[in-house]
Amino acid sequence: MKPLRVPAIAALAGALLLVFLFPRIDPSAIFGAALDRAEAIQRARQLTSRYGVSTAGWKVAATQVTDEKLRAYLSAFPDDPAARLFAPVAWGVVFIEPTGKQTVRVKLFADGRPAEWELKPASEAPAPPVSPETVLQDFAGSSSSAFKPVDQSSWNFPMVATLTLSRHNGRLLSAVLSPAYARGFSYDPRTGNRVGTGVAGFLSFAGFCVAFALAMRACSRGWLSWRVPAGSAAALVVWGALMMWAGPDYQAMLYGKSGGLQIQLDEVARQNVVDSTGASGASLKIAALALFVGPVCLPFLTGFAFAAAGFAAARGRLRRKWYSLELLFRGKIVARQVSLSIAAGALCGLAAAAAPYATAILFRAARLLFHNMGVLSAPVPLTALVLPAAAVPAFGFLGFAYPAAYRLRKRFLRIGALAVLAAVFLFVSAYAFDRLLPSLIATAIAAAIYFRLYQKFDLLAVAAAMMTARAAAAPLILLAQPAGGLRDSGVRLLAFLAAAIAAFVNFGVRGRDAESGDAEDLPEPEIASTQAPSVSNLKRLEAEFQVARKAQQDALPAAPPVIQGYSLSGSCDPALQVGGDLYDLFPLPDGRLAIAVADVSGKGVPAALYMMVTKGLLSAIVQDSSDLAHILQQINLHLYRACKRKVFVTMAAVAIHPASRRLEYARAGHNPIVWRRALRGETMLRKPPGLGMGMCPNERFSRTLRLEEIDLEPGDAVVLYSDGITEAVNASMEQFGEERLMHSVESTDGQSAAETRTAILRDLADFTAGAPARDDVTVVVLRVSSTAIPGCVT
Amino acid sequence: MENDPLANTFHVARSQEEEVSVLTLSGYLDAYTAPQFEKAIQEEYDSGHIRIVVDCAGLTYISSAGLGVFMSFIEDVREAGGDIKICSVVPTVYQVFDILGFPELFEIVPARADAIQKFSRASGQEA
Repeated sequence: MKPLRVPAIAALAGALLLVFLFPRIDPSAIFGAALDRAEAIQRARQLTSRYGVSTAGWKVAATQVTDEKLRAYLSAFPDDPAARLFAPVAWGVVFIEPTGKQTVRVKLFADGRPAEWELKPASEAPAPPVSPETVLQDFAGSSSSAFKPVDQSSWNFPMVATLTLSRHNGRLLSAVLSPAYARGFSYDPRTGNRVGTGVAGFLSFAGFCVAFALAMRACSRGWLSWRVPAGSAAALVVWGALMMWAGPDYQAMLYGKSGGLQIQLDEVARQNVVDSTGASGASLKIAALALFVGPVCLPFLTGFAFAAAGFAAARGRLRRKWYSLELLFRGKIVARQVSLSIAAGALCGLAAAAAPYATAILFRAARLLFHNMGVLSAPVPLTALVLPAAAVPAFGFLGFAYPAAYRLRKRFLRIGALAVLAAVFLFVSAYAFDRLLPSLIATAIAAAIYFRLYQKFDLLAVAAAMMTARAAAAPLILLAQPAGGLRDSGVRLLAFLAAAIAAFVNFGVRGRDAESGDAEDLPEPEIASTQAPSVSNLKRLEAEFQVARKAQQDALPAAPPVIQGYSLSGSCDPALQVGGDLYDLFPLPDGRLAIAVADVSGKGVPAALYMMVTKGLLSAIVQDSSDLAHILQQINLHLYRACKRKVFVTMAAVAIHPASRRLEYARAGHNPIVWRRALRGETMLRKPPGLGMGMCPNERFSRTLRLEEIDLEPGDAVVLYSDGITEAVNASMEQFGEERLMHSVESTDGQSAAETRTAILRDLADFTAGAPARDDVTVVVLRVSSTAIPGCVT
Repeated sequence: MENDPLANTFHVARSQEEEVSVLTLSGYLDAYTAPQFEKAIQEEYDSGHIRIVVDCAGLTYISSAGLGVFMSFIEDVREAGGDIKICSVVPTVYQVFDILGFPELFEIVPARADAIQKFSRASGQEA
């Protein structure tokens, strides 16, 4: 239970806030619907038959229509008579004749009074005449006496409303009750299209394009299994079919296609995070199609692009953030790792869902906007609970963009990129209120929760949180409605949501770990093909790696010995937690100082173990031998016996006699030694023959190995290093190489060994420009002082 | 957001030429791709093919782990009467072979035909 303690507390706080504040300040609770879906359809059908059209056997669709402008008006003028006539929430019902030729569109206010009725196209079939007075009575109810006739086809309630009829041969074709807004009232219908939102929308669209290209590249090059795009496409088809059968968006599309689209388009433009710039100028049919394609297809496409691009680029530690998603993709939903992430996400999602309500306390004047109204109109309300669109930012921001920004090496660039990202997220997601500031604050609270969740858990947890934050409103909206049928659905939905969260919490705490090898399609650099680590196992492994890393670092020389007339500096940076590189400094029995740099073949744990073996052999052998050749032969002998040729070790070793400045050196399959002759302005590589150790029997090894000697002069430098330096590559796959290394050494004539070493590492970092090191990087520099008189080891 | 261009870019192609097994390597042979090479060479050895030519014409990089694969088989192959010969090595890869002392241990020849010819000459001498 421990990993879920904080999420559980957050969920409790969020749930309390929601229970207390939602019924008081959410517009769906304030403007409730007195009719449920079936009642609305029945009422519309009755009205239609009164007006002479029988809709028996016609296809029917019903959707919720919200009118933010009307709501703003009613909030500004609560005592206006319009409040008795109009409601900002309405049912839109459309009947479509089986051949599709004729449609009847009916808009009913929340209390069941008609707001609009329209038959299209006009039918020539004879029908009983409908008297205008009947229509007025139907539309205006008790206020009908306030309406004064203007002409044959319209009535006016001065300063409040107009009812306009259209008739043909006594037959009613349309009737529309429209509000007359008071002079001076203005409303910007495009609250979603503020400047910041537009820029952020453009940037996120650009990010999507980049991600899409990268995702395509990853697919075409085989970095992703073909199952990923195929599975996504299959899921989209299934999801689309389900939505057409039981989801709210297809209903909205059918109603939208019949006309009366504008209000819903605003809704789409505001809710659709990815493409907020679309739709407005498009033709009616395309716009209607957008009502369906927008919520159903785009989330899959954008989610796929961001996730594929992010996953293909994730290496090392980042890959762990995808692990539970990989398991989920393989259908292991009850595996402990998957359930734990979903449970943590769902619990924190409740806290994120409460963020706008907590913010609303501070901003009394700001109005929360309608949201998630699909739950009222979906034929199966459950489908409004799962909203894939909500999870897209998890992949876009945390799966794709954040790691990319974080990888920038230059600090100011990194901070700048992260700030832009945060701003883009805040602006594209800020649509809770009619004002920008509270929307931004509410989004920032939620963003903080998501980011913490990403750090503590993984991407699946964030995706689950984002979906829960949106879904949590669904049962609350239903429960707040006056219509009994809707409240019942709310109870069922709440029970379902609670049961689902409880199930995931249960599996997350007590479930079985996924089996090993469940998620290793791509090579995993850090813990390749070991047991699939659970979160606790992972923590334990991490802790053990920390210990191993420290043990290795402790095996390196603590501080170089001080030798009068010389300076000495070395470092060893493993590419992974533990490495296979080694350097050592030790006095030989004959008084010389020896320096060795070694590199074990392979990477990771096996290499690290043999590195420690080599270190042990070296320490033991130098106790009673001053002969470099003999030392290397002895190491080869033992390694060859121990490693069975599976692993080998290369080593460069030098022995310096401080007083005479005579340097003896040998090379066992290792990189050549750099010798900088400062006085002569020469740099050369010394490469005496010698095989790697552990590869062949001692006889052959000894036959090949050759010792060489050189006499150092004041200012000279000798550099020992591992191939992690020369074989480091930049983005265009060039190697750093020996030339650049020699140049780095040349550029530091007259400086100390530490300065030379720092310059080499700095040049290397500049060259690779932030690309992660693929191999351990070891370098040791010995510098003869330009002036001092050589002394002895102290 | 540069994807790792080195990932999964190693490939081993296997073919038979005059009773010699030729393994043609291409791409990037490092700790992550070495198991592919090891598997290929193990399968040749297991099916009794002990005259092996490794064609490195397309090999752009080899790390110590890749070199380790050569080392781990050479003795068994030679004890069984065969050999592993290496051909068509590009200069950057040859440099790595050379540093480790591979020319001492392996026959490295310029072209694949040379390697196959050496095998057939050896078998001719035996006959």
